Amino acid sequence: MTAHESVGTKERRRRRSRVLRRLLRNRAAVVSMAVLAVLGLVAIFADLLAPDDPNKVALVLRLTPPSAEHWLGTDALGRDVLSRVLVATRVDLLASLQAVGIALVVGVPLGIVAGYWGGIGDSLLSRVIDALMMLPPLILAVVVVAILGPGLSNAMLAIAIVIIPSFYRVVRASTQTASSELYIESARASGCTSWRILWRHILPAVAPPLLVQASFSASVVIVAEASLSFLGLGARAPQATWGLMLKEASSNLTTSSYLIYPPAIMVAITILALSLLGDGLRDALGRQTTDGR
Amino acid sequence: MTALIADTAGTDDAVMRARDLTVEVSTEHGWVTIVDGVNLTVRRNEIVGLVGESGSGKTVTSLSVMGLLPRNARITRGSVEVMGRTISTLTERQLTEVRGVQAAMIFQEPRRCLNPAFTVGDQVAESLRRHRGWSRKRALQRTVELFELVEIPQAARRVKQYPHEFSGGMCQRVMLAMALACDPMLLIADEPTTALDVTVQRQVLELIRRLQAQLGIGVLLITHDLGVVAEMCDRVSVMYAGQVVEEADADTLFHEPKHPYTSGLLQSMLEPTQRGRPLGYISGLVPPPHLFPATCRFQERCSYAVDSACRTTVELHQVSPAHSSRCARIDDLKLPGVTD
Amino acid sequence: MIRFIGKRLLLAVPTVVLVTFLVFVLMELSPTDPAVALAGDNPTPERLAELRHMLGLDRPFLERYFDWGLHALQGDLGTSPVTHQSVISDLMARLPITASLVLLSMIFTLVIGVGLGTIAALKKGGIVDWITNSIANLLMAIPPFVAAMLLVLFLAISNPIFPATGYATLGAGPGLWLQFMTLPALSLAIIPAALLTRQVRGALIDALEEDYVRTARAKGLRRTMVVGKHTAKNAAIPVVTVLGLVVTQMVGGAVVVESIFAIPGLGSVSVDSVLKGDLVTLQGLVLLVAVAVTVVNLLVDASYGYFNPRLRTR
Repeated sequence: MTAHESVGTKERRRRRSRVLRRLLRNRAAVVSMAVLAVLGLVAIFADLLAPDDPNKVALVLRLTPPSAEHWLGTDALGRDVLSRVLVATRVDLLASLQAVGIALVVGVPLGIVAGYWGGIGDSLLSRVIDALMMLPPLILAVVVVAILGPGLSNAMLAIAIVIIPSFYRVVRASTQTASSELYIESARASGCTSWRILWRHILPAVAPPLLVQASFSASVVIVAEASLSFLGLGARAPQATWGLMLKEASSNLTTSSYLIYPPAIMVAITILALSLLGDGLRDALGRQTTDGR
Repeated sequence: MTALIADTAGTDDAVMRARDLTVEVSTEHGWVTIVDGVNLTVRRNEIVGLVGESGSGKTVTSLSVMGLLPRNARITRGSVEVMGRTISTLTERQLTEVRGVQAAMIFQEPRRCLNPAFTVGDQVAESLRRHRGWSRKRALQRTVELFELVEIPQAARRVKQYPHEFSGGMCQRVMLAMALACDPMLLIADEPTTALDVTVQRQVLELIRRLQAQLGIGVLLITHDLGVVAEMCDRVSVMYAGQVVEEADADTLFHEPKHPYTSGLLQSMLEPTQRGRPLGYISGLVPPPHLFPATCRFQERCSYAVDSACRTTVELHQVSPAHSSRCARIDDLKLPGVTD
Repeated sequence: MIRFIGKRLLLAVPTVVLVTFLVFVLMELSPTDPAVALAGDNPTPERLAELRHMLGLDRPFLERYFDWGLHALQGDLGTSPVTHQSVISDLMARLPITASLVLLSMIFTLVIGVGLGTIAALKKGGIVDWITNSIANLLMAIPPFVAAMLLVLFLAISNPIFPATGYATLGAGPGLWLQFMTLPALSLAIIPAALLTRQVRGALIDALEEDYVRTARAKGLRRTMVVGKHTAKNAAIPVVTVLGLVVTQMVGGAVVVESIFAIPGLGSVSVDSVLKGDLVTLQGLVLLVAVAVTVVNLLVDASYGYFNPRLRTR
């Protein structure tokens, strides 16, 4: 263990606990984390929680308003709305994880490469990313879906492409800052390999801002998924997603307005929790970076 | 006793008068008194210095003259009059008729005091347009004259420029032009040269002195620099921890200080003519307002403090008709002043 | 200033070209054959070959791209293989519809955002500030199409004040325009307005703490003048930056909102093109949107010079 390493890691550990304490003091962020945890549990145990088969069609029961039997009513095909909204939670969260995961796997390495080595690769990549960011997110997603064809997996791939640029930028910027810091220069000078530096020093420095970005991006993904499904470019019937449920609600808006609320509220709660958590994370980390100076 | 200066002054030519002015601010420790029973008068044709360390309450005093106290501060006792009008009784709208017209103010860091988004000419002319109702063109013409008055070269060209094209000293001249635009009788200058280079400081001070004499106005000069006071002021009030601790005409104050704090400040002055003299200093800091003691406030830092006399509230004692000091040992102390 | 704009313009052109090129590449990589998608059920090999030739798929990729680019420079974006209409004239017919939607939406955003943000800033730390902030946070969580459905439900179905679908451009007269476009524009404006509220609040609070505000008050200006003139111009820069971003967002949001309100603008055409496999129209749309975004960004850049004189002399 050389001196620069112990300084770097110890300092980082101390910072981490400070950030965590600050985050836990932020009431909105704590509530958001709790809400997201509940949503996660709902997603995992959706089958057990659902009172009915979400895909069981019962045309006799079509469009019955909320009752003791069907707490949130039934849709145009007589399916139980509560069961569908619970199962949709799983589909939506899984799909978002998928999109964020793809974007991380692509965006993070590209950002690190561009930020650490710079050079021609960096300028080329950054131009491409600029170009992608120029288009409104939904237009870009629609274009990608047009090329890949509709469907939930393709929609998620499209959305992943939409959010890659923001991950790339965050990672590139924090890699650049981190690699200009003193302890990394000393690590370089004392003969650490690039891989070792990346793993031990750059990655831990990139992680916090990336976490903030991931939190915000996840809410973008939820909206984008819902929008694409709503337009018929994402999930397809009879699958249950919030976007599809909203689409079905919109065609019965005049007669059965109660259908909007469950998916709309789920979407809103999820976005709110993700963005408040992102705010909380950013504040907790932001003050720390100014402290460091 | 407390209304000493106010009583002796001829009332007619006073442009500003504070009587027993007491200001509180809201802090985490509740409402705390930061200016305590200040009496202060500025007349026409004179420059009054208000001296003290940061935290002594001199800026708060000046802001209450302009009715510019921040929202978390309030006047709880006493009053301030400008040209005979009591500031605290005026509505916000009436206050805007006093500011800039009867009393004007310039500040520390002139560059930050000018709005970067508008031309300097526009900012000076704004005052004339607001108070005199002049047209833009007429106001700008007058602004050029004002720039000449404050000795900004190439005035006609300079009015069309933005603050970032001006040096700090030039910005302070612009501020002066702005302050004097509507012929106020009182000019408050709050540390006007602190942020400037030494050579520029001198030019700006000389300009203020010349304008004061030329226009016959009263100037309240707030500073922590006794050197500035020596050059500029006719009379001086020294503030410590929210109270006036000594007031006198400048000559008397410098040669025969009657308060250990004043004496300490004088000893810590850099005197180019007295090389080799050990530099005095006052140990410690001004206490924060919520810890102002009920006794003599300077006692903890005072090298002359004795338990018996200094452990009580000390009033302002009159030494001579125009000289008073808030020291309990006023009669038995012989304090060192400046020697020529 | 002109040099500043010129430089930005020169930087923007390659980006626009790159966008179109990237989309071309993506289409080339597409697993689906556009000719098959267009040909319908059971196409004969001759029919497929004919379609491929029509789409230019029998020529090398780069040649096709340069060909498309050259035509695009002359204002020709090709012919839609689905509708057999000129892409440029179709898009240009739809542009004013979306533009008037975005315009009204911007007006709503500005009025709501600047209004609420200013009130919150002036009452900083008070209950009004807290309420505004909470509402802004809440509104940020309502996607445009959800907002659209709720607005239709409450203001078109339950209380028939506005029509539930349909459109009118500004050219049809402001009365009709407002009647049809209010709900769609409002649904697009909700998130941007919330965003702007936060931004205006922050920028104004920062500006109000500046020393020049004290100067302005010391010279006897009324409060409205201090806030409306002295802080407004300085607070405008971050606000204008957000407005630029917001326009881009609105164009994206228009995709869904137009389809809810059956407005035949650029948003609807993108969805239609995807569903019908009309990549030619989509390619043209990408170019048009990229150019529009560039123009908006240039306007934002140009406004910086007005709000911040320091940029002009540099």
